[in-house]
Amino acid sequence: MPALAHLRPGHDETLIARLAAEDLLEPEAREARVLVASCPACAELETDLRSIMAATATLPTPRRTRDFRLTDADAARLRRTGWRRLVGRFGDPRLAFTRPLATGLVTLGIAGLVFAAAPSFLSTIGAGGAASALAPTGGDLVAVPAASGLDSNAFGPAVGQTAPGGDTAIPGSSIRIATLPPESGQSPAASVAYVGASAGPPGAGTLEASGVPPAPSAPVPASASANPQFGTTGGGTPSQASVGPVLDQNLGVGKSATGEPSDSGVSTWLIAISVVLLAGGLGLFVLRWLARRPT
Amino acid sequence: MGDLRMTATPDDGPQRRDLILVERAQAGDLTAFNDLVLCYQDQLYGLVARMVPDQDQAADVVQEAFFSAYRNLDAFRGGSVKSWLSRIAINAAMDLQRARKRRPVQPYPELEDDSWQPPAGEEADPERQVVTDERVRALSAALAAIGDDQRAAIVLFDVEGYDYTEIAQMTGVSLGTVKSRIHRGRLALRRSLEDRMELFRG
Repeated sequence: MPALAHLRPGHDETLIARLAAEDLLEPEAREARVLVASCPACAELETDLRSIMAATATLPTPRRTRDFRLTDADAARLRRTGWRRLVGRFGDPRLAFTRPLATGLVTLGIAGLVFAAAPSFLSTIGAGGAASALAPTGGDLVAVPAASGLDSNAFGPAVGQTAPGGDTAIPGSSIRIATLPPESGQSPAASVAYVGASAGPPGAGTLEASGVPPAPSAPVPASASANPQFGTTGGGTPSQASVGPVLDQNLGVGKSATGEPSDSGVSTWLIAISVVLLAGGLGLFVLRWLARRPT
Repeated sequence: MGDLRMTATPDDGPQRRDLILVERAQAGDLTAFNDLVLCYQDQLYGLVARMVPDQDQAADVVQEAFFSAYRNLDAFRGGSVKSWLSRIAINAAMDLQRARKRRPVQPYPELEDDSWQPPAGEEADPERQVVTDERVRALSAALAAIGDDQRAAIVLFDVEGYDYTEIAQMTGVSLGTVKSRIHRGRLALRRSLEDRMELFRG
């Protein structure tokens, strides 16, 4: 049994295969013919490929073993009626655009949910960082007496400048820390840090790094116990409440003290729209799957 | 459905017939659809049986292809009914092959039975008949051993006689990919038949 001669290095067998299939334009065909004329292995390869092509073309036809005609029962089972007929339209190639549409809706929905969740997530992280900076033990809110001479430097670089009124903003987050002035009548021990998500238009609830004093977004009550947003438990004692519930309460309010729509209100709308888009996209996917599913 | 007829040339008898049958089947005439089945079941089975490991599976694929065609009659947009049915059958065969890769079975048991009918004629001479039978077995085994995509392309081109463009449309790949699969498939066949090439050189 003669073994096949191996092509010399640099001889392209695909080029020979294309020559055998007459699938070459003239410059390449000339190169291939030169190879076949000069190289016995290339010539043998071309002959063998032509033989294989001829043999493949005359392969016998397998005998059918079954009659594939449909019975009335098959037809009745396969025929779409009612809602299946409606759903079946989604499998029509003319509605092939529903697939990218569904993908787009799902993508927009997920992106919207992520976008809506990001501020809350960042606020939580920021609040966690601020709380831990203020209260290293357990993250509880700690009273910050204004008379203590605390300024923005006391919070390190994560904390912004202290406004004349004693408020401090944390850059990159919506956390605002307010200190009660000593004139408020509260003892230093009763003065508490006011931590909350800023609400209202930009500049109204946060202090800019430039140090320009912003308009107060919410009045700081004289009595800590008069407002649940204060982290006090009443009686003028320092609050033991954690930051989370305070943030939650603020988010739940939905409007700032000035009455303008808050970020949380916008987020709620964004979440609602995103959920609708996501549901619509997933619904389209389900309809397409039902339409193309074998019955 | 008059627009379907517009795609057929007046002298294209089989295509005109097919389009009329499709139109009647779309209107709910099961007999018309079964006439189409009668026209193409041999050809589709021959095509699928070369792509799918065993006869029963090949028959199931063809049956499923006709079911799918009946279910999607409304989706037929004109053109060649034969190509449309072939495309459905090829897709069904490809789906089965993908499933087979996940759950391998004994490859090509039908090569050993009598359903493969070599052509009779000048090879009636017993000695030549033996060589022919042996060549068919060797080539069928080699075809079974190459990649699914290469096998499909070679069967469609060399056996079924479709051109490169039609195969590209049926399999959903580019013209260059079709050519590459065919050329590489033939080279793979030759490597697989390295010890049996004397059967083909006569």
